[in-house]
Order: sequence, then C-alpha cells, then structure tokens
Amino acid sequence: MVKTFPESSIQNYRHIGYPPGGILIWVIIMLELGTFGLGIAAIIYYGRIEPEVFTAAASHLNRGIGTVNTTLLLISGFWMAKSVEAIKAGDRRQTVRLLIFTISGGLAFSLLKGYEYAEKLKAGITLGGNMFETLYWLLTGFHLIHVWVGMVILTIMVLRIRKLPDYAHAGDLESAGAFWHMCDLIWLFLFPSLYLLY
Amino acid sequence: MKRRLLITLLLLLGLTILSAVLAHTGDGGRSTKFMIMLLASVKFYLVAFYFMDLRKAHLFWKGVAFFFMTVMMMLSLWG
Repeated sequence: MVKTFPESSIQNYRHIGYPPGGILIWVIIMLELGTFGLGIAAIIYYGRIEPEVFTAAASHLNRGIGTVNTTLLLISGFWMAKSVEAIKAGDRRQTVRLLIFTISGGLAFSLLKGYEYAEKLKAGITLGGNMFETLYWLLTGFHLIHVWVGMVILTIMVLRIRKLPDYAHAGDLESAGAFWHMCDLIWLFLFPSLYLLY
Repeated sequence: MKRRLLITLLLLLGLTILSAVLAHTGDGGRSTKFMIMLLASVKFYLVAFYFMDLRKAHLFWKGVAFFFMTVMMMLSLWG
C-alpha cells in the first residue's frame, strides 16, 4: 500500500530557518558557491590579464565532452528531484530506483571526466602549465570530489531507505538532494567559464 | 503540476545546447560572454527554484540565489 508523506511533518519552507533541505545544507551551499565563485572570478581576472594564453589553452578543452557532462548532471539532478517527490509520496521502491539512476548519472559524469583528464595528461596539459590550466585542474578536480561525496551520500541513503520502511528519511533525502543539486549549480557556471568563454 | 520537473529538465537541456551553439558561432566579444553567462544564470535559477524547491523558501534564500546569479553575470561584463 502506498502511503503519502504526512502533511503535518513537511517543514514550513516559508520560515527563514527552514529552507528546503534544511538550514545547515544551505549554509554549506552558500560557502561552496562563494568558494567556487571566487575561482570563477579568478578565471575572468586572469583571462583579462593574459587573453592570448587563455584563448590558446581553452582551445585544448573538448566542448563536446563538457556539454555531455553538463547534460549528464542535469538529467541526474532531474532524477534526484523526482526521488524526493517519490519519498514524499511514500513510494520507497520508486525512490530507490530513482536514486540509483541519480548515482549512475554521477558515475557517468566521473568516467567521462576521467577520460577527459587522461586526454589532457597525454597532451601534456598539467596543473603547472599556465594559469588557465592550473585553474582548470583545481576547479574541475575540486568539483569532481564534490560529485563523489554526493554519490557516497546517496548510496548511504539508498541503503537506509531500503532497510527502514518509514518516512523519517524524507528530510534527510531532501538534504542529500540539496547537496547533489549544489554540484549542478557549481558546474552550471564552471562549464561556461572554462569551456565556452575563451 | 505533475510535469513541472520534466519541463524544467527540457528547458535546461535546450539552454545548454543554446549556450554551446552561441559559444561556437559568437564573436567571443563581451556581449557573447554576457549572453553565455546569462543563459547559465537562467539554468541556475531553474535548478535552484524548481529542482531544489527554492521557490517555496523564504525571501532571504531567494535573495542569496539572485545575488550569486547577478555577481556571475557582472563578472562576465568585467571580463
């Protein structure tokens, strides 16, 4: 029998202290956006100082891979949002299925990123090359670590939701989802800054 | 609305393709850069407000998201 998520236990999102996913995850999101925002500001700043270096270095990046990776993250974000809807509707089986899809999206993103990194290393593009390459490796590498952390969190959620047939996990899953979407939010500005602007 | 998330995803994918086409065909000037970052901001809005349900949140959190989007767009004008 499918039970719906009890209405009374849904947080009042209109309250400043209860954004969707909880205030703690939003504090983390703000810090992460600030950190990556500074990284993107560094790309723009150094791009002004060394425009030729940035244009030449950016031409080595594969826009096709960047676009496919953006698509993978967006589709996995869609599955994540659907899984939060599913758990609120009390449909555990569908929640788990959608979470596995979400994790698969992260895995596909990681594999493609690994292929891209291998390509760059083979071409001699390393962390110490020039400022663009340094920022490319640092920012995409740091972002990839966030994707891996998100995948670990979602795997833990799958195991927990499978074990316990109750609705206590809806809030936790919403927080986990907010972390996953944060990876999308960061990538949405990182992708154009590195792959499209120069 | 049941199809809200699907429509959001389709919009996001369309905007991703549009920004890649714009980068490929644009002159690489300031206006192209601004347009690319504007499209990125629209995508940021769609993910934050629809996938993350920020549209239901307090004005403060919406303000934080809009502040970040504005800063990112302004950066492209500076670059």
